[in-house]
Amino acid sequence: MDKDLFETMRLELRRGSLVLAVLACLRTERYGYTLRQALAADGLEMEESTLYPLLRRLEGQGLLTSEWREEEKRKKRFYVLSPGGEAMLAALTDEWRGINASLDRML
Amino acid sequence: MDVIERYLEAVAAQLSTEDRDDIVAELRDLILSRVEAREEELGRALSDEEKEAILHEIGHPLVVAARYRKGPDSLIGPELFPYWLFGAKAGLIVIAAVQALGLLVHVLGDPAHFGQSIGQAFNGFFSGALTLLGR
Repeated sequence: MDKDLFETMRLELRRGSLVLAVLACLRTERYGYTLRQALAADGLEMEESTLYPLLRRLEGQGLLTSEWREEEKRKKRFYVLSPGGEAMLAALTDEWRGINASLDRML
Repeated sequence: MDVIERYLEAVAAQLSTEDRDDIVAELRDLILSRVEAREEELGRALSDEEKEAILHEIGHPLVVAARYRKGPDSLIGPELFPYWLFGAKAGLIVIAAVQALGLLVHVLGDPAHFGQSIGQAFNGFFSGALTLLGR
């Protein structure tokens, strides 16, 4: 099998689900570093260079809100799901379950 | 200056002024959090080489900054490309037609300088095409 092709297709497959994972993880307020740890703890490793721009994008789309706060010596940017983000997460979760159920029947 | 600050400056240089400070502050916190976690693990301060290794993992400043840039990377994204291609083809046909007409008029008016006329037409076509397609 073509390794490079697999890598491209794997990334494509993961891209959408990572957004869902980030939204789900941010039902609790976290800053970037702890968010990444929480994702990794559940088995989803995500590179910082992907995660941080994604957080900004989601905030720009109104799905997250953020706030700079002092914690452990430094100012950190805390993110949490906005009300719009909660609604989006619920809708996307249904979608995800639907896709999963269909694929389970096919695979 | 510290390797981390130098790295952050290199990233900052690639960012737009409006959100530069914000992005850099967040990146700095991320990097320092990683450094501290590693130091806690080892029970000692990290050397410059070890800090550099962490920066390596985070990525080249150019790449990191590019991920923050808004909008598509390419001048003409995949959604617009078909329109662009259509326009470019139509434009090339128009230029070719104009040059061919010019060539015809030249050749009829002055058959002795046939070669020169052809040369001029080609020259006109290529310079027109370059202008149309952009550098």
